[in-house]
Amino acid sequence: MSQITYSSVPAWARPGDLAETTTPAPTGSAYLLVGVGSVDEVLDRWESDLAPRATTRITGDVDSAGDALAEALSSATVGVRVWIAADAGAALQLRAIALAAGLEDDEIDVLVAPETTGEIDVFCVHCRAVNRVRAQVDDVVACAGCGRDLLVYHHVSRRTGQYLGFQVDAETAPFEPAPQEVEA
Amino acid sequence: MSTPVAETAAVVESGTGSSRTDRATTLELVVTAIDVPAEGIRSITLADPAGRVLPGFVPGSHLVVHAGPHTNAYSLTGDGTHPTHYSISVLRVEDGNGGSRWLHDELAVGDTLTVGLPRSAFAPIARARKHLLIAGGIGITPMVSHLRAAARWRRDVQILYTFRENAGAHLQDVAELAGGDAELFTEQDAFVARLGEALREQPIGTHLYVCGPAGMIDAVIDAAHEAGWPDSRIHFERFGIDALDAGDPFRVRLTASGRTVDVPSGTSMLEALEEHGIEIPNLCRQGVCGECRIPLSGGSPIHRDLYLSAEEKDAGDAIMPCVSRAGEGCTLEVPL
Repeated sequence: MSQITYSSVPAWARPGDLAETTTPAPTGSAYLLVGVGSVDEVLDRWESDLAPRATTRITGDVDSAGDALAEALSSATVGVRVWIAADAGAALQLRAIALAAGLEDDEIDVLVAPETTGEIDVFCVHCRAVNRVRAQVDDVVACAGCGRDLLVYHHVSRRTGQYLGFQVDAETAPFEPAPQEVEA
Repeated sequence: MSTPVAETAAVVESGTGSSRTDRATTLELVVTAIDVPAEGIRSITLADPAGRVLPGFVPGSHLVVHAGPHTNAYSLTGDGTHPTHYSISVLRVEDGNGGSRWLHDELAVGDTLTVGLPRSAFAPIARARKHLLIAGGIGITPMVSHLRAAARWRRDVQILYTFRENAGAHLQDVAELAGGDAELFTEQDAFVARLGEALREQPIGTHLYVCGPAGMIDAVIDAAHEAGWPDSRIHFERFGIDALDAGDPFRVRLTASGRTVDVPSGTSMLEALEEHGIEIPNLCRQGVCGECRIPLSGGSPIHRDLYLSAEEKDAGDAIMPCVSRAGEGCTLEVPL
């Protein structure tokens, strides 16, 4: 856990780090303000700070907001900024969508809302299932795909926004043969 | 596939750190052709004397050329893949350090020229959706390399090239390589207006490349910022260095040897160290080549080189003593 500072987990997604409360520098020419959860106050503040500039507000749950963000970015030009106000798990998903569209890190700002759900996606390296769970780094969660107890490791994919999860006790657990498929 | 590649000679300089001796390398190349594509510009083609393939390079790379008593860096205009020759285009600069005059007046076909290995400081971004190239005057040279690579790898590219009437170089290359994606300007107003438009109509994922005179580079960067471009998308290469002012006097403390060296105004830190018998490997002495980089352990430097990245300059743990200095009366600490 002490290595998290040097990991792929961005500062705003680390447990215990203070959420950013300042408005990002308005250096862009257009702004997509993306909110998931109860973050209307943040979006209102951003919008009023950017009053004369081109802003577009996108809200919804993480999946619908993500689709709307991808749609908006498909026709955007250089100069656009994506400002995200969401819980850390949703923010990681939305960041992945922005990166896939071609945005650079200095075009994306994230404000993690502290009071939101705390759900993150954990990718199981054993069965490749993606678990949407209420957890944080270093927690152990049961994989919905294969039942293994997964350690939520301090590595998160920029491409997918998912944390890496692997069997927590692979070295010490008693050997159990993998479940066989039984024909009825 | 194995191909013989021209061998490099290790340069061993006495009195310097051993780590440098196995790294510094040069090539002895023969001049196979000299063309004059425009007034005041010489295109020089170099090849291995034995005809071997030369070391490949990243598009936008430059070559440090030992031009008689001088050392200058010139952009390579090839695409860098499996090169059988290196080509550079040299603008004659009357009031420069003399390197370009030597290459214009002294160098002839058949001569041997000592060059360093190609260095990459202006590389394309592999994941960029598109490259927007802005060139001014002789700043077209690295763009020709980029255009060749873009054509070879079928990358999306667009170029705006501004130059003084009758002083454009590589116009045919640009036309052949970029076709309808090239726009040429000889009127500054038209260029500035079109630049402002072009900067506002690029798809996300475009990266901007600028090379030209310092004033032009600054103007393009300002226009890009104005259009909302972040620094991560802006890449520029200054050619030559503008005359630097003499600077204020400052002091260098050498922490390993316990000595202190005063650097007066008008003397470079490199010259001052050399006067005190401290030899630092160096080549261009104008903040371009990167050879004289030394570590910095304390003090606030005023970086004036074109070699260190913005991050490296901010970190403040290295300095190019040939051009960089410190504020009046300040002290820099160097672990030498």
